[in-house]
Amino acid sequence: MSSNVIVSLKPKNVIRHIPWQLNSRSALGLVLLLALVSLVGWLYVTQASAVTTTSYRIDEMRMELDHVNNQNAALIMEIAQLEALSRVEQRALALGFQPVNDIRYISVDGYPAAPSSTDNAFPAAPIENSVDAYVADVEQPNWWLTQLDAVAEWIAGQ
Amino acid sequence: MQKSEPFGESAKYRIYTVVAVMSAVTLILVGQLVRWQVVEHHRFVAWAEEEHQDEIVIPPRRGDIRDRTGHLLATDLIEYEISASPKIISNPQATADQLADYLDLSRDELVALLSSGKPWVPLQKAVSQANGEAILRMDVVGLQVEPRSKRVYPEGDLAAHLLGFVNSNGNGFYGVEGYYDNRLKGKPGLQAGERSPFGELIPMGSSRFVPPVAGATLYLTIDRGVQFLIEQELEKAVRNYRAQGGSIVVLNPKTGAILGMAGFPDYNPNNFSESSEALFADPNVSEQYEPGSVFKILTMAAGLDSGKIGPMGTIYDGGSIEVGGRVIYNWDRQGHGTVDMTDVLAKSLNVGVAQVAVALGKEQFYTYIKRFGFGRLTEVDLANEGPGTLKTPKDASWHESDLGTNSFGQGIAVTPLQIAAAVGAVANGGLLMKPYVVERIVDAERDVQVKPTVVRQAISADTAQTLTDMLVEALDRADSEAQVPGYRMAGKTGTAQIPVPGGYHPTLTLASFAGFLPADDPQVLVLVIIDRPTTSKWGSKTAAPTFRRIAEQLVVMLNIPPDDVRLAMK
Repeated sequence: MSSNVIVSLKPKNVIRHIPWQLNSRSALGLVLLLALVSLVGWLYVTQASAVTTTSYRIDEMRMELDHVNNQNAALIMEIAQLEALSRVEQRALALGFQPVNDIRYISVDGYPAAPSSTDNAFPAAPIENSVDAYVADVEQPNWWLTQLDAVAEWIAGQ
Repeated sequence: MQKSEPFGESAKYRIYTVVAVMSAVTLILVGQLVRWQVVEHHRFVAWAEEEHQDEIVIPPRRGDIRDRTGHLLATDLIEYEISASPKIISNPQATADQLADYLDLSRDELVALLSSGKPWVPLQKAVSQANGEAILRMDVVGLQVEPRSKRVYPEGDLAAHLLGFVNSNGNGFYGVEGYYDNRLKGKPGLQAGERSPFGELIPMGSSRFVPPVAGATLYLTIDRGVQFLIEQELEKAVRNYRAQGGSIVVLNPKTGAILGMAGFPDYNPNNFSESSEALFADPNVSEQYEPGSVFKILTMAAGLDSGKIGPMGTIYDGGSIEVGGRVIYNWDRQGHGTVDMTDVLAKSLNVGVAQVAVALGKEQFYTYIKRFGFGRLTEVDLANEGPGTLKTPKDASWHESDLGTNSFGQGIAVTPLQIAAAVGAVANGGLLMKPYVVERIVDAERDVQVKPTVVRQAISADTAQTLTDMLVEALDRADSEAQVPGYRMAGKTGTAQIPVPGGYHPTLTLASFAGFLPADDPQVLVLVIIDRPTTSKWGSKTAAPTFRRIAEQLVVMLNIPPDDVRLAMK
């Protein structure tokens, strides 16, 4: 029976025999699956795009930060150059200022003395190695030199 | 019907042969695949990664150097190195037009370089930050714009010896730059990841970023006002006394903090490569000299501290004395009769201090000299420090006569900083302090305050006080030109002969003065050395007045009122 069935492989016949007719449940499942795959794909592409954009933005900002830091350093340098004492002195002389030659101090009774700028800023560390090996070394003359001295003195008859 | 064989024997043989050959080839291919995929998997993975992965070392920013008030003395700026790949540049003429405004090359020179067809040509090594960034913004394919750090010193040659310099490789030499090179350098960062054929990082690929750690910022004990003052006065003194050079040390004897240190001639660290290499070393820490009569302070300190002499004790000065077979004379070749110890200092009598040294004996004398730190490094935090030269009885080259000559600073070589530190011990109640130049180190993790360090009690506090009083009195008796009106101060001149092969130079000297003030509460110590003055060879006529000019301004700068005002305030 079945051996007598002739199967035509013409596209028209193949299409006719494919079971297109899906029940509604299967169709919904297929649609949901497709939607899920599309969503996942869309999410991946969106995220990848966002990451790429952010990454380039971070790179740009990092370069911008470097650039601003460099500009800041250049400005600090410029300020320091403008504040250089050799320049300040020239500018002061040009403006008619003169070096101070006659300083007079006045003492005000009861006014507390201002601390000197060179007062001890920090407590000194405890004294260590008050007599170290280096210092003590000179008190033990070289044995060989001592013997030579003794021989020299003996020869000299002392 | 007889079934015939589809293939003959010969055909079978050919088929078997083909099958065998193909099987062998397949086996070989499979074997190679196994080798590549399994056996040498790691090698090929590494190879592939090498092609795509890239690592860029990000250089750290070198730390700044600031003075005690925070003023900038050294910092890093960016400059650019520009090069080109002529084979990639599509329009050399247009590119040359663009670049000509920013480089020190003419348009024709640029066209010639960009049309040379070479794979790579350097255009300019050091391009300013503004110009380099302008070129970077042009975004020309085939141009390489590499940022590089450049060390700059906004005050020019101010404190050049003390600061040192940094070479083009980022290595510090001499001074603070050399000594603290590792602390200033910081730690390099790293940027690693997969790169596209255009050299850009692939954002979705594996990547790693380790930020660089900037070097520490150093705050020095130096006051740039003091530094500026002593450099100006030193230059004036060298010019006025027609000297070859000189050096000045200013320190706080109570802590050992160096407030200023100058050497002349000096150089500009911004352009160090244009200066003679001989100028790089700091004469105050690297060069040694025979100190001459300033050293009498220390011989006298040893004599007083040992009890061999007293401040009121007298000696007879017959004009000469023989020590170890060598006759020692006074500077004026005169005998001064019976003199007290203050007169020995006031008249700077070689015969007098030689008698003190003889009274001490060689072992005790050299023990004291060592207690003051001579013959070894002070361990100041500056690169290239020298220890000086001290011969002691332990050395084969030492001779008995050295005891006499060393007592007045001849036959012994010291660095100016050693002398300043030793005289500072007298000013500081006998405590020898370690000189230092960095008082604060600030990095990303810590803020370290450097504390003064006591080396040892070189002499007792009583001896130091007695000697200070003698030095004050000696300056009065000598009517020294070093004295600052209104201030009681202690000090001593020195005029040292300059050793030459076979003896000493007949006329040239090193003139010096070391002093501190106010004598009752020493706050500043100044050592002035004038190298080979020709208007007068004497320290009293060259170094002493230079000291006075400096001290007069220092007391204003450091807010040290005259004694009457200061003591009234107390």
